[in-house]
Amino acid sequence: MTAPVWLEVEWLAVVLVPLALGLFLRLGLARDFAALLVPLAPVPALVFALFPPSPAELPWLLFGAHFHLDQVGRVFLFFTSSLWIIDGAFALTRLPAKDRHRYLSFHCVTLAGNVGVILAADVVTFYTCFALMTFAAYGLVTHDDTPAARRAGRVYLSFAVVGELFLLAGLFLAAHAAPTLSLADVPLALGTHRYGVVASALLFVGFGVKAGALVVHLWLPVAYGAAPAFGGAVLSGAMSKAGLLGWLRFLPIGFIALPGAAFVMALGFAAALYGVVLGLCQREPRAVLAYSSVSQMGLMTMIVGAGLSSTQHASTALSAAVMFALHHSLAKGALFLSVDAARPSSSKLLSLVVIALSLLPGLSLGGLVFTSGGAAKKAVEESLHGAGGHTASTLATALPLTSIATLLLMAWFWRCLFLHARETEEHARGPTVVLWGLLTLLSLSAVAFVPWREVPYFFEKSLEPSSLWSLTWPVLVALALVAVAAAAGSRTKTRLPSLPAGDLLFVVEPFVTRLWHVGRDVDDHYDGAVLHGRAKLLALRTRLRELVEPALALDERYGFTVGAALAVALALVLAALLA
Amino acid sequence: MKPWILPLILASSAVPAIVIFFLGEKRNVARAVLSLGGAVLKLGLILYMAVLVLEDQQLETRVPLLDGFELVLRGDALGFLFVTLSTVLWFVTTVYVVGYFREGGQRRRFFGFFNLCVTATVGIALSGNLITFLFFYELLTLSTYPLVVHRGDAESLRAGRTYLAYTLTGGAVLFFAIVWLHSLAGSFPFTQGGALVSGPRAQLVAIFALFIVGLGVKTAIVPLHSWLPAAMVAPAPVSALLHAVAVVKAGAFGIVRVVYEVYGVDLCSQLGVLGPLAAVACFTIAYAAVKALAQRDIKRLLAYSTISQVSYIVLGVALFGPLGSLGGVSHLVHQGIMKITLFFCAGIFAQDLGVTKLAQMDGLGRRMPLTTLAFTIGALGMMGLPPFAGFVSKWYLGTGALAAGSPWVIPVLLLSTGMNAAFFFPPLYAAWFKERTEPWPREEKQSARFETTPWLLAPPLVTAVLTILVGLFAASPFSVKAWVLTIVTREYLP
Repeated sequence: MTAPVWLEVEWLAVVLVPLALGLFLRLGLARDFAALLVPLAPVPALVFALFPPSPAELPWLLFGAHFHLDQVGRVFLFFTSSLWIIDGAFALTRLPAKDRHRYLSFHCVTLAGNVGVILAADVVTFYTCFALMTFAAYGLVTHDDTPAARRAGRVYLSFAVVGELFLLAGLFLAAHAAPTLSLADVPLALGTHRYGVVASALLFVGFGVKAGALVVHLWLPVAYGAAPAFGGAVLSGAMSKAGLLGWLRFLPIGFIALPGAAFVMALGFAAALYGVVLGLCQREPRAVLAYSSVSQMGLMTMIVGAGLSSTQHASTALSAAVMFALHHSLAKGALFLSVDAARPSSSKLLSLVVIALSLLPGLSLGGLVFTSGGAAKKAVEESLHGAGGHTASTLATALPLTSIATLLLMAWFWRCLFLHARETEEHARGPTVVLWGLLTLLSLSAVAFVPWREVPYFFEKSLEPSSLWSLTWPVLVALALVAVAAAAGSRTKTRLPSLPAGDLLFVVEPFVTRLWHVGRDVDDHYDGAVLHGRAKLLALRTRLRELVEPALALDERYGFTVGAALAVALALVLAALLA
Repeated sequence: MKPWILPLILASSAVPAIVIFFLGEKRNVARAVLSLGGAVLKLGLILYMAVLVLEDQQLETRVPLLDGFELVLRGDALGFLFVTLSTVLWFVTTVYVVGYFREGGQRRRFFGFFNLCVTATVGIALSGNLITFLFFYELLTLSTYPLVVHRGDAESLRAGRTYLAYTLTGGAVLFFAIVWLHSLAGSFPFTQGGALVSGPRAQLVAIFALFIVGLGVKTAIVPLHSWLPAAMVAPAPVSALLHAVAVVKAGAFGIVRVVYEVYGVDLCSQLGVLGPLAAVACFTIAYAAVKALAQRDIKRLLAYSTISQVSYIVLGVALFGPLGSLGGVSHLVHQGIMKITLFFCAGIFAQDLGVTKLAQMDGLGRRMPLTTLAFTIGALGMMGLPPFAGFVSKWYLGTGALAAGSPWVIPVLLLSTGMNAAFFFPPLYAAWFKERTEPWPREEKQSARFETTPWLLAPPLVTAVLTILVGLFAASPFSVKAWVLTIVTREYLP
């Protein structure tokens, strides 16, 4: 069935509106006006999320573009567009009017890619939008234009390229395995084809770079820390979810019990704790949040691993992933914005209120009951139970550990935020605080009014009597631990160790840089050696040259004539051909 | 049927060439009008030819040359692809050249040979048999030499000698191969699906190897590539057309013809020559990509990038299967559009600002936003990022390699992609994000309104837009990919 033409244009408009806005800002066309429209750029996407149109096919675009919005896509589109709307407005309030067009243009192009990823229903469109988002976000990371931001940009780009390479390899294999380029065909093909496991592994790493999976997460604290708070909000809130969506769209969830699934779950659990430990060694609030993202995305990795480990309960895992994405996206976005909002000008009291309220999304991340976090924790638990097997059940038992750890990290974040707000000279304006409040409110209430099937299901589950206690005791333990730690810290004057953001990066980075320079030096030497050899040849050649000199002189004098003669000869041939 | 159209296509640049040689050195306007007029006429003729080829009319013109030898011009789908590429890119290059050579001597010589050169390239595209191909192939060698040494300084002349030494030797090897094959199989036209049916295996393999060596010089297959980085001393428009359309493409096009229409893919596959050819292509892709990473000069970087990218075409041809062929043959066009964009931009940087080194590119984005934008699009296309042209070729090469049962090609493609990112991102970063701290090496304000003269600015913008359109609308019936699909279908199912 082909959709009417106007509908297809509508699908494109969702991507093209922000893209066009970005170009206007970049090229300086009516850009003061265009800047004001930035918060509205994701509105078509939000409308789509609420009123999804029927699928469309644009056979002339790319390799034949397909667009489709299923339940998973709708939830992703909902939180992505909401976050981008608030974030766009927030950025407007924070950026000086004279110097915001460049940032906003990158903001819009990244947004276009991010939305396109969610709408895409074929491999090439998905990859195109994903690449657009990835490379445009470079501008978000490097906005501050300090040496630290530039380094963050280099690190970001290096990891982005590595991710793209893994993706490309995985996509080649996926496209080869699947009968068509439609995303609907890919998971099944990867579940059955002999390249399926290799392709899944490559795609897992490729999207894992964006999602901040362990080991390829190294760019994340550096980039989130260097980007402005409102850049970090979309990087962690929206774009890392695009990586998760890649996993959900491509990996053979529900089609095969993948041999590496237990490893994926274990990796996720390790990331959940690792992120917290490293996060506790940070001082910069955004870096703490970045490590919290590593930790939270670890939980998401566990869900994906659970989905890959059995064919029967895959739909539970899929729903759980959607629930978790919705929860983490908005809560983490709100926390990032609180870094900028926690220093309003009017009064100290308001600042304290902001900081105090910023506790709520933090507690939500820790899985506090009655919040989206409680539902999300329930979702992880359910997916692990569904997965079955030894690893899954062990991890399900150990799950409260991650809640306690997350809450400890959130307490630490709160402390860092408090110090940060006290030290900073810069003040936030009223609209900034209002927008932060709006996102916080949305993050806390989304579970109540997002009407999609998965969300109320897990929320109601989390309100069952048995869940109430299982969700509450980790919070109490964490509170007790924080109290003990605070008391012990102030008495003994011991401090948490401080580590640079990007942990292992500091081992890897000098090595890579050195390799880069060595490569160039070797090549110079090689060229030098060749040149030396050439010098010897040159002497011989000079001799020879003396012999042919007269002929060369002739050529220099009559070169033009020779050319003309050649042309005449050619003309004769042509004339013969025409005759 | 319409026997006049093919010679007329040749004449539309040959006649201006002759007239220009006899015009005075000072007749700048007349020269420009002649060149551009010829280019426009040729575009018109090509459009007409497209209609004829789509109607599947046999376009052929024959001239007996010697006993048993004929000069044959023929318009088929593959030839048409190359003619179109040459004509369109030649047109934009002509515009660029008019803007580039505003002063300086020997412009008569330059324009004359420039037009001869397009004649030779179009002749190569339209050749209907090996002898005709050889004729135009050698004409191309001779007519590009004066363009390479145009500056006339010691370095140019040295590069010119290297160029001649390589290409003439290559031509001789090609000649030998053709004669050998003639003695074996007689005279035959290029035939879809392959002209040869069978023959003594060892001899056929040896002749194939000679063909690849002979054509491989112009294609710049490693280790026959050294002339190409040396030839970088040529003026920017010359480099642009050498890399995008004329010389390297003539070689690659020749390889396509030999594999598909002399031997035929099936025979090549039976002879077992495709595997080694793919291996050579992969080595070239990887070696040149790594070498490119070590360059500090913009044009030398682009030269090594060309060596790497042109072997994509050879690789695609060497992969036995329609998908690989689709990637390889479409790269013939895609690489041309992208690379010519990059060279146009490099030329503008050098001409207006004296920027020739990668290290001098800081702040270019602010000074020349449109040119830098075009350069960026070309570079991203070279990396093979969607939705640019390069992605289309790479996608079909990758999936084609898997379909052909050669998954070992994938790491080579990935390495090439990674290297392209590694050597293009730093200059792009410098151009867009770094602040200019020192004056430009040589600043010449060419235009009050634009960042440079419109003559120089328009060509890279046009080709950059083409780079986007070709990739973005790859699935549309008017795309390069659609046309190449027609060709490939005819080669595999003659």
